[in-house]
Amino acid sequence: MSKEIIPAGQSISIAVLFISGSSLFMGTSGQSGNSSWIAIIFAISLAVPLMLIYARLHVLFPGKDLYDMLIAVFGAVFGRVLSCLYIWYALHLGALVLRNFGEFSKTVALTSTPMIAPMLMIGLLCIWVVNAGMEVLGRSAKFLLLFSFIVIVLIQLLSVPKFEYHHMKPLLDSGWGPVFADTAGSFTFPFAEIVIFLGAFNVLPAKGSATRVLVSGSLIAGIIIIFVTLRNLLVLGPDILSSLYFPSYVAVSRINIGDFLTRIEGSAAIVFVTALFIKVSLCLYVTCNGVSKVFKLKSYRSVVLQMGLIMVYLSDFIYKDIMEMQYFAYHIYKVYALPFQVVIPVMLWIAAEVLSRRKSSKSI
Amino acid sequence: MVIYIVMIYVFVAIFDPYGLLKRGMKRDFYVCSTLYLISFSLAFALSMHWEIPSPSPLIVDLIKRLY
Repeated sequence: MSKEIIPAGQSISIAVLFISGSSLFMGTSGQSGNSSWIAIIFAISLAVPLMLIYARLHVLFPGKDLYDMLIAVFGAVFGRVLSCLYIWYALHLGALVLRNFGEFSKTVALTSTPMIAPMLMIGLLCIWVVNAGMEVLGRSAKFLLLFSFIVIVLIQLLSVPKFEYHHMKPLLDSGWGPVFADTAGSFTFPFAEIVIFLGAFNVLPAKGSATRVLVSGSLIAGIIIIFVTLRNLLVLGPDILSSLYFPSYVAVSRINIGDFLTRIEGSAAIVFVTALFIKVSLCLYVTCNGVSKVFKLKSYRSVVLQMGLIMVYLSDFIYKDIMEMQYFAYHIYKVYALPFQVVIPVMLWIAAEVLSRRKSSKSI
Repeated sequence: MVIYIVMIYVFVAIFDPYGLLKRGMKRDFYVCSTLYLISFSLAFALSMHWEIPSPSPLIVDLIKRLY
């Protein structure tokens, strides 16, 4: 089977949809009220150096993914143990994102349908696309990003008459403390979640495109998230915003253009579904790729169906209810995800730099 | 529901793990079969409305102990 390579443009599309996926309808962590956009800017500026570290790993190990790197640097046993941790993280993240969609369907869109039905439909679609290969996912992402971008811009423009600029004042009402807390929250969810993409670095072209993909992907997704957060804030205000599970959906439902263009939130929800589809697909690919590397399988495709089904079932029983989901996403996740997003990659980077310098000094 | 699950999984077994064995991918077959058993157990438990322990309380407990 020929090696899959996806061009930088398609990889950027995947990165943008991956980062903005859940945040488009869940919003970002919001203790700071009307200053949450400042927290997002801080989170982006924290994420960029991390992206450069991730990209450096691609330079040090061209054509290799996270699992190859872990096994090459930490050895066959410890490298595989760490790989198993990343397989769990990717599987868990995919299940969390699917559950977000399930709760969204159950709460606002398909209230009488069992939650597993929409999650299974999206899950099967993801299994299909991952089985078809990363090239298909890349092409889908490129088209879906364009579509999502048009919808987001259109909704942004239609929301302008509903903007109430007094919601922005007083800025930093509760001080810098909540802003810094939100910065940590927004950094881990969603920006640093792109660590999952390291598990698919083998599909990037060998010559240093990772910096372009990760940095521009984070910046574009960051701008989209800032615009969406500002729109939600200006339409709903900080008090209502913090009390909602899916603020974007409610903000879009307020659009009313001449009593003619109303109730378009259902159509806007399609953007959430497209972004979520890409995010879950990438998580599934990285999970399957990890399993294939750890167990030395011939192809990751051998386990796509079973891992995808396990991901869907996990998403069904992972939380008891939406409150538990919200609590986990905004309070627990930022600590839980930190080792996967920062600690292990930084350790890997330092070890890889030391090894590559030793190798180059030996060759001299 | 349980009957549907069993029927679907019989079909999946022929299509997925057995297909790998027929293609001579033995290692892939063993891993896929293990995952198939896990997947089937979860599907069966969900269709029977059995309570499956979630990993979330464990993670929450661990994080709360750390911080």
